[in-house]
Amino acid sequence: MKTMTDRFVALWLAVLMLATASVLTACGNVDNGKPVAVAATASGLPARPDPPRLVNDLAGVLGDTDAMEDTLETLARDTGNQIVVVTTTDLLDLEPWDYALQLGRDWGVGQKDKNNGVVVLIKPKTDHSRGQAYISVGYGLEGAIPDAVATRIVNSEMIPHFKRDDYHSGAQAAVDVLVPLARGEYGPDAYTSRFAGEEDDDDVILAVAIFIMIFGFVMIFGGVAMISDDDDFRSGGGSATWGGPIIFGGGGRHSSSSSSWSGGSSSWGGGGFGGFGGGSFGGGGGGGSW
Amino acid sequence: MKKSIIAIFVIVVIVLGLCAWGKGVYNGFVQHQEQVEAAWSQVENDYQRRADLVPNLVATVKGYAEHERETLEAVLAARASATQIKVDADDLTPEKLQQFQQAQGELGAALGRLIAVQENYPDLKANQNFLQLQEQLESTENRITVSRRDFNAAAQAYNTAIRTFPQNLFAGMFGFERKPYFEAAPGAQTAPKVEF
Repeated sequence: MKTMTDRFVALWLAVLMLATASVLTACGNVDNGKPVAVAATASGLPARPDPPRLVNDLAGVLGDTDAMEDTLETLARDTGNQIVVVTTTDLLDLEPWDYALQLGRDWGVGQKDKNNGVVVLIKPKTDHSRGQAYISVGYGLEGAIPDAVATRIVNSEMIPHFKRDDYHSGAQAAVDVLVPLARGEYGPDAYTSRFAGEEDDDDVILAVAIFIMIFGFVMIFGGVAMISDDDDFRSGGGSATWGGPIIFGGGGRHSSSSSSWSGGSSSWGGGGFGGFGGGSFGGGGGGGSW
Repeated sequence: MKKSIIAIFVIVVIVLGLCAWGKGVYNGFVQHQEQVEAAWSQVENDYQRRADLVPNLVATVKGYAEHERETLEAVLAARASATQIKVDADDLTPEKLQQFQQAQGELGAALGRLIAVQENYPDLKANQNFLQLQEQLESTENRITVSRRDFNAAAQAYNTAIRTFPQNLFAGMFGFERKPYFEAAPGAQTAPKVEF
């Protein structure tokens, strides 16, 4: 009889302990949950593209974007810097900077630990509303692309094209400047001063022409010299046309003979860039309207 | 005898369980608190960034608008009092946040009036330096908006955590207090809107 009571008590205690433990665990799970990501996001933002894409022509104004996508994906693979181009017809009653920021945060453009994302937002002009463009720059790229530069890119590279309804060229022009800036190929000051130089066009064109002539000669003779020195160079660089095109052809620069870009070429064609990384934005950037 | 041993055992288990739970809750609070602190330092950074623009802006305007002495002095005074108020993240009382907010709001309003001065001075309006400072001011105001919003979100997450039953019992015990929010005060808080 006594053993029965003992067993009963033991069983009862075991049940009680289990119950307590489970309640406590449950409480603990509910309470000490990690703080959720801080986000105040407007509803109605476009969903993150799946599969991830860097050029998102939601307004349907950019035309063929494959080349642009390739350029940006190569950049993302080489450097981790993610530049997203988005067009939209509806800013959800947000100011352009805020829309770009919230979209960038929502999609997680850039890498989480580096916040190295950029959102290029384009809201085309309609009969009833102004066109708006804004470049939002993640915390991590604010040094490479300061606000003043972002503003300048929008106003000097993009809007002139947009005014002619040529959205593709405007977006492309922005990408053409943003990519080297993000790569650190030239600094923001170099971009700014290049812009300042454009004020007297003739001199610049003359200077560039002289530069190209001199440089071209050097390259051609240099190239001939190198070819005669080393046959491998020819097969590596521009095999069909020697010397000159290495510098003259825009697409041909840094081709396989150049070691500086070698990282990107190996993974070329793999498609995708690994997806958005969870980068954040702090309100840096610049924009304009037309 | 046997029963009392079992009873002691049960109590020990319960106490251990409470300790484990309490530890989890406490660490959760700490994590929330750290997010609030990080958000607060971003707020201070961004306001500091704005304050740093003031001397240049005043100097530029001064060159073109000598007669706006009052406006210029108001900006400098507002900057001086705004930068004086430093609030520690772990000492964020509603009163202190309000003081901070009010001082910064006054600087914002003074800056708004300073920017508006350009309407009377075409040369100033066209000055490259002034245009650039104006752009910087504008994007700094954007940053401030963002960091305030982030701070409010972090404070809200923290407040929710410390006020939810049953861990609110711990919050009082360990001195976790409610964090205040930024509130949108009419006029003072709206960024000076710059139209080109």
